[in-house]
Amino acid sequence: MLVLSRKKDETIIINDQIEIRVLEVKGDTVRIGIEAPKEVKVYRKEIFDAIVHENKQAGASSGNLAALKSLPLSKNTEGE
Amino acid sequence: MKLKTELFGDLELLEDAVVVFPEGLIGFPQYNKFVILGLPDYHPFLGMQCVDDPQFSFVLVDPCIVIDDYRVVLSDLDMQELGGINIEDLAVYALVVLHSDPKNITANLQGPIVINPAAKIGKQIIMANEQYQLKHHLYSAASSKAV
Repeated sequence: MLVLSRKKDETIIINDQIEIRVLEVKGDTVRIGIEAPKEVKVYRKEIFDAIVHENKQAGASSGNLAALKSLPLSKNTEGE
Repeated sequence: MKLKTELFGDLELLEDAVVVFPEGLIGFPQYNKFVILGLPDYHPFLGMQCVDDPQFSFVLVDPCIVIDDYRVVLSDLDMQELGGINIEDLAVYALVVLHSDPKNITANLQGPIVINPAAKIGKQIIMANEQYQLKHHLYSAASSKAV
């Protein structure tokens, strides 16, 4: 990992087009401004990781569909 | 093309049924080809099978039947990448995490997949507003919708 120290209002530039600026430091919270081309996606990592994890769970090849029939959403023709 | 899957059994898929996800799914950029499957015995759920990897099988549900007023937020770039479609013409689905106990079956409402059915292009988007849950329990879904 590249580690740099920045003070408020100082900036880091990545690949010519992505800029990351320290806007404010208050207690243990750092406000970070990001300028990037619109095709560059920026996410809070914990949200990104959570979605990746959820995708892994959803994409599981094992398990089976049977339990879906017990959901109130299911409109199956079998009796309760 | 034939695919042997654990979740959906042996499938016979048509090449022109393939929906292309140019960026794959979040965390899985290498998986670009999917086919949506009807699951007549499990209505209203649908299946989504990854053509690139037979082990990657999904169940989908329309978020609008899970909660009231589900709205996706798409950027201009998202719309462009989906082939310049009107938002009303998009198909939106949530990925379902299966479980043997129906009370533990959840849908990811924070990371829906959005498909342009005409152009057969899809992408997964992240909705950062925490109004929608990552693990929305479907067992109580019937009661969370207004009648």
